[in-house]
Amino acid sequence: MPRLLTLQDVWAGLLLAAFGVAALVFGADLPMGTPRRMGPGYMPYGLAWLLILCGAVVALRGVLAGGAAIERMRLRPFVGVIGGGLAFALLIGRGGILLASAGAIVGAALADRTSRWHEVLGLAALATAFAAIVFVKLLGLNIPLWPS
Amino acid sequence: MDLLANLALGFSVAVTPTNLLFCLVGALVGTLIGVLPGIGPLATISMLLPLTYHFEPVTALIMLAGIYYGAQYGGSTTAILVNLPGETSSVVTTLDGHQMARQGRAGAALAVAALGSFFAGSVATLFIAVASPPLAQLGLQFQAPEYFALMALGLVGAIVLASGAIDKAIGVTVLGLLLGMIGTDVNSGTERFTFRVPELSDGIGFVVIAMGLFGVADILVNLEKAELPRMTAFVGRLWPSREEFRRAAPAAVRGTLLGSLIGVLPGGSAALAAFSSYALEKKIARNPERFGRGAVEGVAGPESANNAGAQASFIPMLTLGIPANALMALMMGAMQIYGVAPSPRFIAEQPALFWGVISSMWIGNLMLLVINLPLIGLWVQMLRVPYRLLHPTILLLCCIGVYSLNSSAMEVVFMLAFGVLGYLLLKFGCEPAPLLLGFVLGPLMEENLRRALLVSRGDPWVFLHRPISAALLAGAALLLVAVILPSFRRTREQAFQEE
Amino acid sequence: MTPTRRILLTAAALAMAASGASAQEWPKERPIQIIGGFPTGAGTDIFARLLAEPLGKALGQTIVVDNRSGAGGNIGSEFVARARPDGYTLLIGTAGTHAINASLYKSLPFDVVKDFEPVALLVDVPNVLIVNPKVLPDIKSCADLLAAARKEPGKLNYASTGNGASGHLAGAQFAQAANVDIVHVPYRGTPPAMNAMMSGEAQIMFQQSIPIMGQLKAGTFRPLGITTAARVAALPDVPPVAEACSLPGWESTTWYALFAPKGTPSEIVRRLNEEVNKILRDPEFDRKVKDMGLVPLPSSPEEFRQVQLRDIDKWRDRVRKSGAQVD
Repeated sequence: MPRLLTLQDVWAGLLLAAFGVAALVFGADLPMGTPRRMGPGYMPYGLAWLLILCGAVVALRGVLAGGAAIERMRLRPFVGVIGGGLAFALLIGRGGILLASAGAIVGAALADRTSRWHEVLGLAALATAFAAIVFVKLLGLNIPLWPS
Repeated sequence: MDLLANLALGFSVAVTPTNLLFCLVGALVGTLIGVLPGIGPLATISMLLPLTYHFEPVTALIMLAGIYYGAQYGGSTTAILVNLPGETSSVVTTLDGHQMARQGRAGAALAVAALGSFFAGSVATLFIAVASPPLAQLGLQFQAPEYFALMALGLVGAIVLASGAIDKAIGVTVLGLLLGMIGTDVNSGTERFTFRVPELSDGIGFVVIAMGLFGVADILVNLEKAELPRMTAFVGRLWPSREEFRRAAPAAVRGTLLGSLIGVLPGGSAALAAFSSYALEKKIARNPERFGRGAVEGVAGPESANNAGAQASFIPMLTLGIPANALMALMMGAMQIYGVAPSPRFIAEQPALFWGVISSMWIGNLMLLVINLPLIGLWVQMLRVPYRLLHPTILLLCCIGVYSLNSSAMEVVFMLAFGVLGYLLLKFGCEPAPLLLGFVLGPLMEENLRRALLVSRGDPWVFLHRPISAALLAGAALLLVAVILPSFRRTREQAFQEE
Repeated sequence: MTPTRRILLTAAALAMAASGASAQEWPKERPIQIIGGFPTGAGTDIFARLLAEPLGKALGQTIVVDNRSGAGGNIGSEFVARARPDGYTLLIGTAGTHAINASLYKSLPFDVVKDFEPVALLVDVPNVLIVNPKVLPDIKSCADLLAAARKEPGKLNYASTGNGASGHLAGAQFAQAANVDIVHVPYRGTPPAMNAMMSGEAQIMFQQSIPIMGQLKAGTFRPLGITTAARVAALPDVPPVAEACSLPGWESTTWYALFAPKGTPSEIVRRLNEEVNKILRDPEFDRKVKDMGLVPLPSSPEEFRQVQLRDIDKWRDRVRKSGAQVD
């Protein structure tokens, strides 16, 4: 990989600038108004350019000065944690709090190479019971327990 | 003296067995929901409201108030132990509190937080009693230009507060400002960046962003490390050392004063009080490089400030019938149902109720201290749990917490997206905390800027013609110049230099 | 029978079984939820909680209030429009969500008439025209206000709790009928709008009665008129705007009402309507409601539907004239 693409600052600048560009694109049809009577598009437009400027400065500093490299990124934690969260989001409406909670716990456990299966099962049982008792029974949140 | 007679009346109301019992119930429930991330006092109080219809108004209010300040105590516990702010007001506590825990000083951090909160609660109680009417009058003078100036000062503060490269800090703050634009524009009613998703029409929830940036991103980063975080080795003493005490005490005093002042402003909140206190402590510290690495002042100041702020925000509601935030609006709604609508004549018309509730706050704070100090040992035990069992639990609590806000699975997905954003920011060497403050202040700042110009019919000088606004803006400008000046930058960079 | 058809039939049978909380066995051991479209602590929330207690007692069932706020109440409405029509999900709607929004929003993901069963009108919610006597000490009547506004056009501001809120539309409708030039300044909900009235940033406001009864009694705000056609019990000294401002026929009120999703069995709707009306006529409840400045409106589901249809037409015209529009 070229050295530039390993630098934290280069990527940080690109990330910031990307949000600025997105704001310009998606906010293009908001009315601008005038400085004295600003429309809804005025501030987002100004902030978007400011963000692009910041991003450019950060990235340029990275290119010129180098700086720290990005530490290794791994796929497994990402897939497990985000997958577990998505499982929760998908299951909570119809599947009830017990299934959804178990989904989140198992997903997060898959993300971790040190997980031990008997522990995960125990934790899933404990945590789902805790979630059901505290949130649904004690605090009265309006979430079904079981799939409906 | 009037004050003594009033407080005597108040205590006579507050120490009846029923009121003592419900003060305790409120404080306990508050601590519990404070410890649980995501579920906050607003949701809890609204869920318990129907129950309180059967109570006397004073008993009901004592319990509800207990939940509110109890949550401030509880919120610090998870912030310190697992780097997860239980309440928004404990976000800054994670910065130094969790570092202290990692260094084996969890017990000391929790004790400092509890003692600071108790001190702040006691002072704030007195403060409410003495200063209610005059202070609410000051807050009333604030109009759009003053609010704008106050927020500008807050934003510059956020940039100074951030560690790391200043251009990145500004960039992340601006990103927060921009994310705050999502939703319906108050001045024109136009929807911005909502992509026709109804959940976005009122903007992204603060809790959604906070849980994503701090809860989920933290898990992602930790799981990538070769060594998983281990906190089992040192649990440490349960009591702060003499040196820690010496540093913490003045910080708690400053935090209490600052929190009381901010809490009384309309729109002021416990969270803003905590942020400001942290910035202040860092600013006046002789060696600011200790901050972010377990400085005890960084726990004592904000924890005192958020408790003082929480209690002081009762002042404008009780004395003027003007709620400073959503929670106070809910309390006011409850009082209307009880048939005791707050107004400027409330203190005169309902002295037993007003002073009873005020006095119960001090009693409640004392109860919290008595409950929480022995519990510290129990909380610290949590650190012995290995991380492989802890992180699935944190993820689950984040999910349920966010879902419980609006029963929206979509918001859980948003939270995960912010987890990814936070992860990328951390990987690219940017600190995510300023994003949060930019996000909160951005829409308010824009709203008040445009409103000030609307009301002044387009005259930009309005910001300098009004003395309070001019003074606040001058302060912001000075701070900004100081940050940019080369000499200051050098000290700042030294301060944040990695070891 | 083709496999597809068999699946469809099975699905239909399952759907019927699922939604088949038949009216005889309703309500079962399962909480009934009233959805509100506005934040906790808003007028709808306060009223729904007030109603939930006696209604739950009358039905022998727990009733929980659940707020899904946002988009001018549309998020809560959409949720109920899509909920199962089994009598366990109800909506506390308003003239805002179920009449005004139909013309205020360019497109709504549901139909305010076709997707809902009207259950019962609850209360009329008047707006009160207020000024702050500390800021405008000389304005003691609506006539004074109109004279001041005409003397210096474009000088006075009126606050509202948001673009398209009932107070905004009442203000726009008032300015137009009285032919005065007053500037609309929107705020994010009631608390900041109240702050602005206290500090004098805005001088006039049409504000719902519930949150300001305390200040009206204390004299913090001076009521110049009420937007109902007749006086209300809690504020006997406040004349209707029509009378106080010499604008015959002028009124601008909104109501709160209970809706159920389309297809809810009519026995359930009837039963709910009867119980709600019994509660509205209960002297103790009546007193509480009137103390908040509200006017109870017992009515049948059919009468309520007529009111809704009439108001949709009425507000369409007003929204167009006010120029308010939300995407």
